[in-house]
Amino acid sequence: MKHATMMAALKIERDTAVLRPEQRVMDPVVAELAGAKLMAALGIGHAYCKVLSGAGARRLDPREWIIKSETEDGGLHACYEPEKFSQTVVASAKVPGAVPLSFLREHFGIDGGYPIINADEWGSGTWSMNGVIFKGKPAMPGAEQFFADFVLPAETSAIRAAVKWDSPGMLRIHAARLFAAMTCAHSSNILIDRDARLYSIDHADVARTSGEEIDLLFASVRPGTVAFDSLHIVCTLSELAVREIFPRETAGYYVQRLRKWRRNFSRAA
Amino acid sequence: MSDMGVLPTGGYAGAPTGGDSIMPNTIGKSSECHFWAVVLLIAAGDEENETRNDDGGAQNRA
Repeated sequence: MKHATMMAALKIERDTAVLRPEQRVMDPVVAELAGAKLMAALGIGHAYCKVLSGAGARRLDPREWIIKSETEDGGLHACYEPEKFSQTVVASAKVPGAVPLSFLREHFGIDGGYPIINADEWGSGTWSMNGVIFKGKPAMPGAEQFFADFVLPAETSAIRAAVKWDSPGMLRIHAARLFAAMTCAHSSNILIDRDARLYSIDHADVARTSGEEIDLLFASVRPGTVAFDSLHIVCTLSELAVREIFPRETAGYYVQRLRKWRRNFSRAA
Repeated sequence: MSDMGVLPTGGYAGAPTGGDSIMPNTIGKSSECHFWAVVLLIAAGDEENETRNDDGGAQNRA
């Protein structure tokens, strides 16, 4: 990867690493629901989500739901202590028989690796790549029980292929999340089931940007590659679909991103 | 996990703590990385990229 490209990507990343309030496109609760709708529209696996009160969430079976609670920093975080649920929470349904990629790696020794990007020159960049993308977050409390219904099939080649960091399925998820300016897919927010189907979860953090990352992307991904082909998934969205997925106040932002994405794709293809 | 029983949606144990890192000291706070997808998609289209499957020495640098 060219030095200038990497620098540009890292600058964009740094500007949004922790969102300032004015950089948030929408409330994380709303974003979580919109993210699930977006994945559904694109045919990407996702977790069913619903909004309810903290009191209502306490009545849900913790073996079937993960509760995401609002916090003072404006985020939406998984919370495993019912007495600490916020007034409004998002309940994210367990995806039956699916596990995070980090769980797959830790318990079954299967992982998708990550790219070496000028490892010497970009030491800390490489660290972040393997720390965030490859290793993922610490496991949730009781993870082994929660994910006990995942059974690794005897034949694992499809799973191994699907979780590879540059598999078509992974790249399509990256494209979808990037279009929505959501946090990057990593080994804790991507799940896989025994049929090698991938699921994208955790869509609460969305950033408002000028769209420079879309220009950088299309200026740098070569047409004719699997990576470029994966970007087409966003082009399958209609503006009407975008207006139905995202709340009215933010639909204009996403329509503009869709137009920019399509313009770049057509120009580069 | 914090002592509040809350798992941040971002936050990674052993993240670097600044110094001369080109990444700011933000990993481990309330947000995740938004645009690593740009890097990954570009790298995926780069014929010269290589894949590694270990922790890249992350533990030593943490």
